[in-house]
Amino acid sequence: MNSVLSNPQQTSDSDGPHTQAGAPILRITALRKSYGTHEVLRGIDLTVLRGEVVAIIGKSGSGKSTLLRCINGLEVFQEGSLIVDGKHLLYDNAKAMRDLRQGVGMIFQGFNLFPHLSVGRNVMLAPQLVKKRQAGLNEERARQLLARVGLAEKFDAMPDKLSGGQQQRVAIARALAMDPAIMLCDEITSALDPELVGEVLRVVESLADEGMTLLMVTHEMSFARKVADRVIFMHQGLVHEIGPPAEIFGHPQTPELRQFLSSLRD
Amino acid sequence: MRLSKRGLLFALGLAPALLAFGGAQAQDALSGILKAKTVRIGIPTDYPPYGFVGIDLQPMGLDVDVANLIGAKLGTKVELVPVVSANRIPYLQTQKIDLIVSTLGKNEERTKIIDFSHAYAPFYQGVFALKATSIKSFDDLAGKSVAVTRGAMEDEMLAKVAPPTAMIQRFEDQSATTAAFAAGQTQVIATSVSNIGALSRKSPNLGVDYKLLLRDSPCFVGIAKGEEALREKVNAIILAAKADGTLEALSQKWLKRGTGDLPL
Amino acid sequence: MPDFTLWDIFRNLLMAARWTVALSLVAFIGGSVVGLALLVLRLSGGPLVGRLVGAYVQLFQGTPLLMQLFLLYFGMAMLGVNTSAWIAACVALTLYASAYLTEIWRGCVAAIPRGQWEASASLALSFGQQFRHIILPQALRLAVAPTVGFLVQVVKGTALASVIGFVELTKAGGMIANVTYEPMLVYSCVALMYFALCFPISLYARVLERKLQ
Repeated sequence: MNSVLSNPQQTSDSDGPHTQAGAPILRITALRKSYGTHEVLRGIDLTVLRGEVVAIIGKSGSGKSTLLRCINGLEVFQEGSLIVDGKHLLYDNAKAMRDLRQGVGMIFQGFNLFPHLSVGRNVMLAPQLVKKRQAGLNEERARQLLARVGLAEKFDAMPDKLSGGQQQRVAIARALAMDPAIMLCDEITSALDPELVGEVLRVVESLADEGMTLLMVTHEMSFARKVADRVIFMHQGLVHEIGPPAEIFGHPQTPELRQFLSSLRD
Repeated sequence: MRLSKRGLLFALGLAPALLAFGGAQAQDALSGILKAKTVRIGIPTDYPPYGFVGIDLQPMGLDVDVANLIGAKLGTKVELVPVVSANRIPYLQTQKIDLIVSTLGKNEERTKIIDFSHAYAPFYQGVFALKATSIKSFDDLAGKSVAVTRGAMEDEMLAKVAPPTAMIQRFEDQSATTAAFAAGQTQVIATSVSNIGALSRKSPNLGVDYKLLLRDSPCFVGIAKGEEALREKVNAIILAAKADGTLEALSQKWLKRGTGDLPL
Repeated sequence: MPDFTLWDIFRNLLMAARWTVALSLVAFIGGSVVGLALLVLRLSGGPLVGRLVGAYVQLFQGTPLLMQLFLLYFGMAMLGVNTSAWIAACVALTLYASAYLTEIWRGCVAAIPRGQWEASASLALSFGQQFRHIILPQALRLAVAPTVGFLVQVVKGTALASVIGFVELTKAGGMIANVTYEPMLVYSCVALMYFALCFPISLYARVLERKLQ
């Protein structure tokens, strides 16, 4: 299958991850975050390898989304360290943050497409402005990516004319256009009608198959079971259990996880 | 929101102090005028017959003639600056004009902040009403509606002598005050005699009568405080104009009456 | 006493109306430039900058325009800075307009969903790029109605410039009304002219809004 992801052997400073396949691409150590007096993340330790697919599950309020948003700097943490693709997170350095975000793509629950731009312009904007990609090349790549997510014919359409599932797929193409090393998916199907969920998950699965490093906060348990290399169960701001899907779903160790899984079955 | 004259004077009470520190010129006003060959004089443009506009909005009237006379005698050009009651003293204090020739009455309050010349024209302020309305003293104003122009001398005088039950309605300028009275919105009007003269000419059937004297307050030229040289020059010009009948002629021309005894 | 024909009244008012238009234009353009600069400052600066801009807005929104005009013209003269009435009126109205416009536009930007900021940040856009390509185009559509509504306020606000001796439409009307003793007629003409200035502006705003849809 033709991969549109960057050449994994690249080590120059241009597009693509600097970490070799299988090496740690994300290292989180003793991460703590509070909103005022309320501590949301109470000491997270996690290492993610390049090419891994990690699913994060848990009750609402357990800190799943917050953890994800710390990784690309949308949330600021107070203690601990976060190293992405070999670089520390530096909040006060705007340029460092931008460099980091070139390597980390994010898909949101609410899609967040730019409503005043066409689908094609949505995908082309960031590469044009940030990577200064040449116009012809940029358009070609955008069309490629839209075809990849099954929306080639929608290049000139406006976002409000698309269904939720289509919009989310455009969002994926938009994030891929920056050639990120990691993709963060924050409950990306939670806002979709059930019949539209499948088309989005199929795209995500294909990304996983191509070797993209994925961190997904999700409620789609069957999908996590099928696609994830590891599943993290978060509870009250901590990694409560972590392991391959068979273990997590098949043999839950702690009562909290057991209770969570049974609540899903109801 | 409109600024009251009192409010303005209070706010600008700081003026002398600030002028002392701010870049005040070393030379006096008269020297400045002669050097620049121009005298800037504040004149009214909405107060006939002292100051009003012709069909091309050019200023004309008794005060305008007096201003031009002063300029001619000083040997300089005249720059006529339209002013109103609310801003004429600030204009003088901030040296944006050199003289005020704008039906300026003299009173104790004003003497504290500016200087005055000799009087150059007469000016009565009074209380007027229709023939039928009986007003023999200020007490008769009780319960009656009285129209007056905000900030004008009549306003200040009325505040001192009107009974508390008099319903005083203030309007922003001459024409509004007069229109209100002429339309019957108020029973009484406190204004200058010149204004009533003009009103009578325009609406002879109205039947307005003079009732009470508010003040016999002739017009003086306003000069910035301390400018003695300029004041003496202006006084000299006025006295000469008095002696050779110019002031009398102007009064007859514009006010249709003589100057009477003009105080110094 | 001069005799004003209806045409005399009308043409003098028209001539004065030119100044109303000129002053309104300067105030609106100047106010927009300053207002936009303040908006960007507020969005990109730290909390201290935000507080300073907020204080500036409070100052001009919380005091009467009449007083601002007066203080700028006469107050500055007392401190030794001598300006013409035209300059003072332009500066005062520009500052006044900038305070209101920056606040209006801040509201429009705040109405843009946070997700737009987050998505564009995640794509590694700088603040300037976010503002120019994502936020501003969307905020523009929201801003048309309140901005134009304010422009109409500015046009009417120019009438206050007469207190510093500036002869615009209202002042000219006053002078003519006082000499003709026909305030009803004269002020009706003045009102008509203000309407003739403001109504097309409101109409154009509606056209603009539809175009940006």
